[in-house]
Amino acid sequence: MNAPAAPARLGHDRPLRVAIIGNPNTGKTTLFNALTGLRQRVGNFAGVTVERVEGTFTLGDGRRVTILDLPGSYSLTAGSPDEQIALEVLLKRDASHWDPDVVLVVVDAVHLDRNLFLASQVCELGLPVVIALNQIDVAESHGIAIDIPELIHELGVPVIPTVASRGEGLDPLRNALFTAAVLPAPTARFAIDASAETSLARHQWIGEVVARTVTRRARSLDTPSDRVDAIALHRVGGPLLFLVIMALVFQAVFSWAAPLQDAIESLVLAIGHRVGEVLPDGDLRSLVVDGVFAGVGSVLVFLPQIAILFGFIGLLEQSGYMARAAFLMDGLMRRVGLHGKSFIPMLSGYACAVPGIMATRTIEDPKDRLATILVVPLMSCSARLPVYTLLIGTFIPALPLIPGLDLQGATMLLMYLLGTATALAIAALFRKTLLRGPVRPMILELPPYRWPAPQSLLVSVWQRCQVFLRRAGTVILSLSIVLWALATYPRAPEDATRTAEQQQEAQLAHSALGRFGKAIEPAVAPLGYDWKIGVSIVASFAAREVFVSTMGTIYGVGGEDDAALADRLRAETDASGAPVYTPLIAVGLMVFYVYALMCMSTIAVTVREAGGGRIGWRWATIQFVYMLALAYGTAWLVLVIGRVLGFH
Amino acid sequence: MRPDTVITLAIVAVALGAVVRRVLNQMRVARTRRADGTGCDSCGQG
Repeated sequence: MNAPAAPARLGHDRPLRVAIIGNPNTGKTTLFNALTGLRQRVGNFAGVTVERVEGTFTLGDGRRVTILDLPGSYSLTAGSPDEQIALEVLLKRDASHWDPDVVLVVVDAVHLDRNLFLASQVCELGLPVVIALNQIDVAESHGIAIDIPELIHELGVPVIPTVASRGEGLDPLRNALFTAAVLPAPTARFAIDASAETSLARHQWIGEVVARTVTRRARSLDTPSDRVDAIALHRVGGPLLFLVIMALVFQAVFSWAAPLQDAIESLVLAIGHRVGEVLPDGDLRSLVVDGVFAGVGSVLVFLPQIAILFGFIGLLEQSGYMARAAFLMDGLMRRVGLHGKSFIPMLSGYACAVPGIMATRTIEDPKDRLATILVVPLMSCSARLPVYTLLIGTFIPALPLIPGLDLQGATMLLMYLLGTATALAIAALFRKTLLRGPVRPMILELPPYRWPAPQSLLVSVWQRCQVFLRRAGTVILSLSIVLWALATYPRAPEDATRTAEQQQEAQLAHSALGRFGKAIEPAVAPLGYDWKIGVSIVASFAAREVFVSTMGTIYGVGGEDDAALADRLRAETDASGAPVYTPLIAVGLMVFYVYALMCMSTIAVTVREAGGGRIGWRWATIQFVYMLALAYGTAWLVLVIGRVLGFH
Repeated sequence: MRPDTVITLAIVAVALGAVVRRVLNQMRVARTRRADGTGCDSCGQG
């Protein structure tokens, strides 16, 4: 008998539509990336995908497949906003009408019993289903043997063993997706509802299926993961190990990046110098040299730090250590009234607050979610890194403290810890006042430790570098040009009695930027800042790195030599000849940046995720105001206390 | 007006346009009820 005509044309007339679903941390995104060749972010912990992500691939015979990666879900009775996204697609209630032809359920072979709950529910939706039995290698190493033909018989759908991280089982899986599309949908056993009776019956049936299909070889309870966890999860040793790892990471950011940073700095200065020689004297030359090279170049030099920091974060995520860090933090989070699930958004906040805030969609309770949204921007994001690195590298000496850690690395660690500790304290405050509610426990799964795949690690570092370079080439470039124009026009009248340096200072003071800076100087003067710092802080509202590029542009327009920005900052003096920048001012400025919400993207996404409209704006205003007050107050305290202690 | 000044002002105008577009884009993000992107509108992280 011939197959039905319409499904047989799938892949040729239109792509086969496949929705991927599965429990959190089963390797859905890894499988999605392996099938499509895309590079979605992968982590060895739950909750990495919070939105629907689409990708396509073409088979050798020209058939096309579109795959939708859905957020991880434990069941089809959705609780959190991200689970709701998955449910809407599968029930064909999605606003974009993305109706799947086949549902690919990714099942963790190590935890078959738990994963079958969702898989069995999906099998009852009336849609063709294929099950990818992923991490089959890990299951075998745990002494778990699965009778796959028997499992196919029990479930009534194709089951394909895969190892997504190594690309194993992909060809049979691709073929199975097309085969399943023309097979009748599996028959339903239970109703899909949240009633205790149905859940109990389903669990009993799953237990029987597992008993018939899974055999476990007796194995030692003392696996390598268990041995590492004996230290990593120890009450005292665990937090200590976490601190040591973080200290080493931040020290490496300084020590390892220094030669590369110097090389990029020399290259940028040399190219800027060469371009300056080629272009005739005039506005265009000043724009390119003082605006573009001094502005964008001063930020670009921090590329090695970004690469090293995200290399380490990727290593810790993919190895499974971050899940242990979440476990260590869980007790602390619950004490301050935050849900354990808040850890992942807060962790994402170290890269950028925007995905961090979006990751709060995994949190079911609106008050838990809002409290997390309000504190995520306190986690030091990668855009703060150039600010910290410039100020620490310029004003904090590299005094050795203990073997492997000097004062520069320790200062950086302190800034990150300050943001994290404050986030927890503020969350506690919100949970006891505006967002009062019960604290819910979190079920946390500790994945086994894995060696990170070098290619995957390199890809994730390269993606972060691309993000950084894209920012430098777009928002930082355009703002550097605009700020250059503001620092250059209107032109100050020429005065023959002035030296070239005095003329440039007069030009800056006469410019629109200078006038604006002088106008806001009284507001920043109590913190010990001059108008140039004030202007740079205001400009960095577009993106925090713009603080560095604005400094580069201001000192590019205002200086005649092409020295590096750090040298210019050290040499800057006020009218009385006293240095404008001191270690105390630098520490105060860093503390200001730990707390201040200088990021309009974060404000926009807070408005949206906190409910949109007036409610969203209200919470975004609360967030902006409390963070600004915290930034201003603590920077002022640093200055006052520092001076009392004899620092300058 | 000197040609290099004209070119300079044109570049500044394009850059200013990019900055304004970015601000408008953020306003659009704030107005949208449901996310349809893949992350940060400025840096693409997410």
